[in-house]
Amino acid sequence: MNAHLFPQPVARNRSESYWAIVRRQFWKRRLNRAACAVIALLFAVGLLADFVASDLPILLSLEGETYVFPNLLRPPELRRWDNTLLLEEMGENDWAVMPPVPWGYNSHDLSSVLSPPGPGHVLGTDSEGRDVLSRVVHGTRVSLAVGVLSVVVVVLIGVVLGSVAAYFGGAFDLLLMRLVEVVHALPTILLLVTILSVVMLSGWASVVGMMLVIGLVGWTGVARLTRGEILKVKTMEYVEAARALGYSHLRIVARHILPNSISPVLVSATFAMAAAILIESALSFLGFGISPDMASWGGLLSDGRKHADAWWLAVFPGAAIFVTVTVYNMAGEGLRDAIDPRLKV
Amino acid sequence: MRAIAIVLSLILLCGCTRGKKKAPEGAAKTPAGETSANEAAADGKAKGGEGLDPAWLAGDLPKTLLEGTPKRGGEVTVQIWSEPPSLNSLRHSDWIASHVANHQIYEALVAMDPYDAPAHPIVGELAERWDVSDDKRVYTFHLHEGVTWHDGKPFGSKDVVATFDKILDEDTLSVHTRSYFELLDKHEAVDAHTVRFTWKKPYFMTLDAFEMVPIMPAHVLEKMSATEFNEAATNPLNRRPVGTGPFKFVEWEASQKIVLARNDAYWGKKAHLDRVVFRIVRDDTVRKQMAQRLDVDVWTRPSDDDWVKMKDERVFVEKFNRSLIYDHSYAWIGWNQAAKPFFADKRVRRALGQLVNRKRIAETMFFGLRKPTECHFYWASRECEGLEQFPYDRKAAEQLLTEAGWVDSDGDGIRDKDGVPFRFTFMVPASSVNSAKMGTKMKEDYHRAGIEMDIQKVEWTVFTKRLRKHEFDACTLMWGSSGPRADPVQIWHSNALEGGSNYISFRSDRADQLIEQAAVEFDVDKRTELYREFGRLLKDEQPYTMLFVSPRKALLHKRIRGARESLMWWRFRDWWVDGER
Repeated sequence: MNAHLFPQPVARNRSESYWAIVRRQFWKRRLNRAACAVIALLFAVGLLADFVASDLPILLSLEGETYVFPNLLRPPELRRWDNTLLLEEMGENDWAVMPPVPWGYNSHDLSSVLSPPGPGHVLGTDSEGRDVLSRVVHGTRVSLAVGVLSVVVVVLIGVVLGSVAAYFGGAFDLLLMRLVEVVHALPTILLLVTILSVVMLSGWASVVGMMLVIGLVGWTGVARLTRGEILKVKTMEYVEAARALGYSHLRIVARHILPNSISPVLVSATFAMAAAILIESALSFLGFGISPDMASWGGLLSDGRKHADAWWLAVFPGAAIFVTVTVYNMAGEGLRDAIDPRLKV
Repeated sequence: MRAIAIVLSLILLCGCTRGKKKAPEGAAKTPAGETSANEAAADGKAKGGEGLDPAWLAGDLPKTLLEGTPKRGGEVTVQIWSEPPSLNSLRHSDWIASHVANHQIYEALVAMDPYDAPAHPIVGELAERWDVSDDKRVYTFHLHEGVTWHDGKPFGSKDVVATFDKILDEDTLSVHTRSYFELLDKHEAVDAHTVRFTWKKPYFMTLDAFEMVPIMPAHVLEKMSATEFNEAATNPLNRRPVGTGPFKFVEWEASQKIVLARNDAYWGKKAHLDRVVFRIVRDDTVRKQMAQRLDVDVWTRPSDDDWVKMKDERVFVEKFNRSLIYDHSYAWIGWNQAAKPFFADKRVRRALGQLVNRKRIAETMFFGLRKPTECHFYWASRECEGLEQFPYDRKAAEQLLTEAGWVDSDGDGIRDKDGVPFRFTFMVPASSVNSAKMGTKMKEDYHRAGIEMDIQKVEWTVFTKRLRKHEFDACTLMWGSSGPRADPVQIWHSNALEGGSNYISFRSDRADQLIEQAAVEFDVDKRTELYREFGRLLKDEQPYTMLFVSPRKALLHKRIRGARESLMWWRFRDWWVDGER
C-alpha cells in the first residue's frame, strides 16, 4: 500500500508495509489484545450459540435413530421434543449429549418463573420461566448481527456517498452534504421508533429490519468522514497521475483514493458497531423492534425493569451489553492510535 | 477489562465442562433433579406468607370494617393512575372520569346497587320510582323532590330533559353515550318532577342505559351551544362539575389532584368524610413509594409483582388491608375465520386452545393473579355457571387436528392440508407486555404440535384499524363492559361484522337468534337461560380461545372503615376514618 502519505515511522524494518506497522502498533498494547480476544470470544459464542444453549441435544439416539447436531439442524421429526421431554420419556437404549445449557431461548420452564440463579438455571429465569443464560447467549448472536450488519450498511452508504460528493465536488457535493445534514438532524431513536412502529416484522425478519433501519439513519458520520479524507487526498500528485493516464473515475476512486483514505472510516466503523448494539438494546428495552420470542439483551433488561427484585434480569444482560460495547470501543480506540502517525512514539 | 473477559470465559468453561461430564452418563439425571429443586424453591416462595391473615393474602377486605358507628369528618387520599380528560363522562368515555364523577358528584336517574353482587340490580337514584308501560316502551320516572344542585339551584325534570337534549344533539361529541339512545323516540317533562321516555322498541338494557347518564344542571347546559359543550375551555362542567351528589367538587390541580368535599345539603344519606382527595400518580413505582411512606390511604392498582411480594414488607402488612376482585372484563385470543382457512374449522380452534395450558400459565407467568374464564359474560353472573375451559390436553388437541385433516404430509414438520401449511401470524398490541408473554408461550407450544406461529407487535392505532378491517390472522385483546349486564350483540352478532366488533368474522344463525331473543326478554330467568345457551354455543364453537379475567387490586389503610368491594369501584359516601394515617 501507499505509505508515503504519512511521515516515515520509526521502524526497525524499513521495507515494512503501512498495514504491517499498524498491526504491530495495535498488537503492541495489551489492552487491544484483550479487547480482540473478547470480541473473538463473543463471535464464537454468537456463532456457536446453539451448541452452548439449546432446547435439543447436540447428539441424540432416539428409538434406534441417531441424530447429529439436532440442535443446529432441527430435524422435523424431533419437532415435538425438547430436552425436558426427552429426559422424561427417553427409553433404556436412548442417549443424548446435552448442551451445557439445556434450555432454548424461547423454552418456557413454568415450574421456575423468575427464579434466581441456581443449579437448574445458572443465571436464573425471566418472568416467563425462560433461562436467562440461554437468552444472553442467543442475545449475543442478535446483538453482533445487528452491530456488524448495520455497520456494513452504514459503511456502504457512507463511503459511496462521501466519495461521490468529494470526488466530483460542485453540485454533487452541495446536494449530498445537504442530504447528510437533513438525515443527521433527525433524532435517531425517535425516527427508529416511528419506522419500527410502522414496519412490523417478526422473528429474524425483525432483526434484519432493525439492522437496516439503524444502518439507514446512521451513515451520515461516515459519509462526512470519507468526504473529508478524500478531499485531502484528491489533489495529490498520484491521483493527478492516474487521471493523466486516463483511468476511469471508478478506478481512480476505488483503487487509488479510497485505499489511502479508508482507515479513519474503519475506526469510526468500530465505534458505530458499539453504538448500533446500544441502539438495539435501547429499542428492545423500550419494547420496539425485535419480536418478543427472539432473545435480546435489551428485551431482558426491560423485563428486569418490571421486576425490580429480579436483579439477575438486569445484571447479566447489562454486563453483556457493557462488555461488548466496551471492547468494541477499546478496539476502535486502539486502531485509531495505531493508524495515527501523530500519536506514535 | 481483562478481568471481565476472564469471568466471562469462566462462565462458559463451567458450562462446557458440565456438558462434557454429562455426556457419557446419558445426561439423564441432572436436569431432572434441577427441575424438582426449582419446584421446591417455588413452594418455598409460596410459603413465605405463613402466619399472615389468609383474608389479607387473598385480598378480601375484613367484614369488621363495616362495624362500629360511623364518625363524621376526616379526609382520605386515594390514588388514581391517570389524569382523566375531564369529569364529564357524557363528553369523554373514560373509566376514571365516570367512576370519580358519576354517582359521587353527579347522579343519574337510576344506579346499580353496588353491593348486591353479582346481579347489581338497578335501583333508584334521582328517580324515586318509575313506571314501565306494558309494552316496555314508555318509562316514566318520578323524581325526588327537594333536591338541590351544588350551587343551590333546585333540581327538577327540566334538568333531565336538558341533559338528554345535549346527548341527542348530533353536534355534541358524546357518541359513546348517544349510541345507547338510538332507539329513544322522545323524552319529555310531564311536570316539574316527572319525566317520560318513549322508546321505539323494547330493550332489556334500557334501565342500564339510564344508569350511565349523569344528569347535569339545565341552568348551565342551556347557556352552551353544542360546540361550547364540546370544548374543554368553554364547558365549565368538564373541569368544574356541578352535580346533585353526596360530594361537591372543590378543585382540580392539573396532573396533581382532584379534591371533593361532602355536600352538606345532600338530599339523601350524607357522606361521613369531609373530603376525598384523588392523587393523580401515573407511575407504578411512585404509587408504591407513596403507600410505603403512608402518604395515601389507598394504593390503587399495585402491579402483580408488588402484590405478590408485599407480604415481606411490614408496612403493608401492618398498615393496610388488601382488596382484590375480578371484574367483568376478560382477555381472549381471536381466530379470524375470514383470513385463514384453518380457523374456519371449530375442531382446529378447539385444538389451538387445548394446546396451551392456560391454567398453568395463569398460575405461574401471571403469579396466580388471573382467573381463567370460558364465559363471555361477567364471570360471577348466573349466565356463566357451569362453563369451564376445555382442559389442557396436547394429545386430544393433536388428535383433533389430525381429524380435521391437518397432518404433516410433506415431512417438513409443519402440518398442512391441501398444500396449505399451518402457519399464521399472531397480532399483539405493542404496548401489552402480557400479550407478548402469552404469545411466546403459545409459539413454543404450537411449534411442538407442528404449527408455526409468528408474533407481530402492532402499534395500537394500526392494531384497531386492522381489527376493524379484519386484516389479521389471530389476535389477542381484552373486553370490558360498563356493568354486569352486557348485550353480546356488538361482538357476536353477524350484523356486527361491519361497524361492530365482530372482528373475527363469527357467524352463527342460532347465536344471532339467541342474541335477538334475549334483547327483548324481560324475564330475568328466561333471559339467563337464553344466554346460557349462547354461552354453551360459544364454548362449542370456540371462536375465541378465552383466557383470563384480570384482578382489580388495591390497598386500603386500616383506618378506613365502611369500605366494601364492589364491581362499581368504591362508594366513598359509605367510608369513614378511624384514627390517623
